[in-house]
Amino acid sequence: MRTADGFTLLEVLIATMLLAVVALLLFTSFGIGLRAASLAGGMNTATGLAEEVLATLVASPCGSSFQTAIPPEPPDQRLARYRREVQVRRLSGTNLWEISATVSWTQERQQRSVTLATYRHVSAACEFLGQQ
Amino acid sequence: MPRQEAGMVLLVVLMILLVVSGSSASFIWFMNQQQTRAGLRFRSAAALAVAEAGVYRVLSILETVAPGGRSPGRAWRDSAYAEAMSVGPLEGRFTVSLTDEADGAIIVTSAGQVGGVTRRVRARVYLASPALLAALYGASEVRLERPPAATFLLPYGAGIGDRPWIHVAAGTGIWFATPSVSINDPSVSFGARPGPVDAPEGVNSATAVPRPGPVRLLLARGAELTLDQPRHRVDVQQLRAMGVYLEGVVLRTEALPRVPEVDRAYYQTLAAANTRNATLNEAAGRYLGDADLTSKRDSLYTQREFEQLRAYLQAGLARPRFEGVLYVKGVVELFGGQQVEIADGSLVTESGVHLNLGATLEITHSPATRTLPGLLVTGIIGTLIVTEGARLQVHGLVYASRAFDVNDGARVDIVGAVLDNDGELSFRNHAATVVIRYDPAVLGTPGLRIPQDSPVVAWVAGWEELP
Repeated sequence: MRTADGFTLLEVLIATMLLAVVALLLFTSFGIGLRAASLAGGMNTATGLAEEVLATLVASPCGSSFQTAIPPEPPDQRLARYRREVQVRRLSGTNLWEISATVSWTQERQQRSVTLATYRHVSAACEFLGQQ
Repeated sequence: MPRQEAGMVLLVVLMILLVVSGSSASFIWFMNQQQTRAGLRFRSAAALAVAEAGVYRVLSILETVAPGGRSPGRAWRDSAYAEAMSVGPLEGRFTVSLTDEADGAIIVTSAGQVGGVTRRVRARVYLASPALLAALYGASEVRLERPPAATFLLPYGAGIGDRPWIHVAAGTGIWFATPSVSINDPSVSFGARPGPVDAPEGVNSATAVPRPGPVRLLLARGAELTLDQPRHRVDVQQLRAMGVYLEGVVLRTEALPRVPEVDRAYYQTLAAANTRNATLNEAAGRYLGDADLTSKRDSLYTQREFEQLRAYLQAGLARPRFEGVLYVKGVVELFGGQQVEIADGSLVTESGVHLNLGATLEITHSPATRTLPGLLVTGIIGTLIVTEGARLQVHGLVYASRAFDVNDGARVDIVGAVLDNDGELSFRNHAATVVIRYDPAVLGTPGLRIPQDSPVVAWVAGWEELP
């Protein structure tokens, strides 16, 4: 019986040690996982905001929406940490416009951003009808 | 603790650790997947925007000049044209290809690639004359004469509010014979039959007709707005003051683009291939004792053959209904209350079309045949006359090489557009009711030849993402 008791104490000590080591690894890994999830959420939100901005800018077939004023801050206060920026320029010698929307934010003490870019052309129909 | 239980605590702890480690590994893997997916979603959205950029690049080329600037863009076809564009810190690239369809459509396929993700879109594009941007386009003069002449010009179809179009374009002027002739007067009531994408009449829905809005006019260089008889020149403010419902006038600094020509051979081919009226030909041939008509399968008629069919239908022995594209090498004249219907097709003539004395001509389309023209009246005496209580209902483009004259209580209901090429008098509404609901699908009308020196507009009829 004495022998069996000794083994039990050793078991408990080993088990406790193992638990401690694994728990440490687990907590570290959980931290990494949660950080990854948080970054993913930030990027998804930023992509959605950029899509929204681009859709607003290209809404008009005759280009009147290209110059839509997009305030840097999204109207939703919960998204206050995101900043929006647009760039619109006419490609030289064409009726084609390059439109890009960038959404930037700070996360994990790092500046991050996503950019979506596309072209839109102002149809000759608009010029013909004086709708430019 | 009994000897046989020695080591159990360690075993149990190890098992718990195994389970916890497995769950934790799954959690970490799942969270990392979220991040991977977020990156993928961004690159996918960026690739779609780049693919769309490719389509718009093509539209721009088709309307102007081909890359290199040496040939007209309208003839440009490339099976793998590629361009790079920057997407923030990443580089995007689109590759486009263009192929021609039998009905004149150009299929533009664009693949956008960003960060290893590719998305593809396909657009169905038509090149059209800008003349098809007007609900009523007259190469010369548009006259609105003698009350109760009422003309209504409205948009048709979903999403047209965003599209560029104009109510009336005139090459030499618009004459309001008196201020009492109405154009888009909201206080005047009118009726309208279902269009090609509406539910048929009586099928649990009423045709939704928008309320008439103020009219925009397009005048070529030197064209005038005139009022009264004898005529005197007026401006928009004067017309507004007299109650004409005008939004404004666009004054061009040059002449209007030339009206596109109808490719008769194209429609002759369609009519020759159209055997859907063979039964009617046979019945009329038997009734009239004409062996040639009895055995006729196609819908390419001489004036005499069409007269025979008209006489047979007027006898009331068959439903007066044709199907598909009909081509008549001569005049088409209906009178005496006669009704003729053409379903899912067009009537193309080499001479005038005259509807008199309460006659009715209906040419209707379904969503599948929406871009077909309705009525093409060609030839040097290609006048379109609707008079004496006659009624004309058409889906699709109405084209007349000479004047389109509506008078004396006649009613015209068009879902499409009117294009008139007469050099002296394009359109006249004399004490009649004319409703034209502009359908942008007319920009896809096949069988029209755009003069080389005229501008073209690229119209996207449909757009889809490819898997």
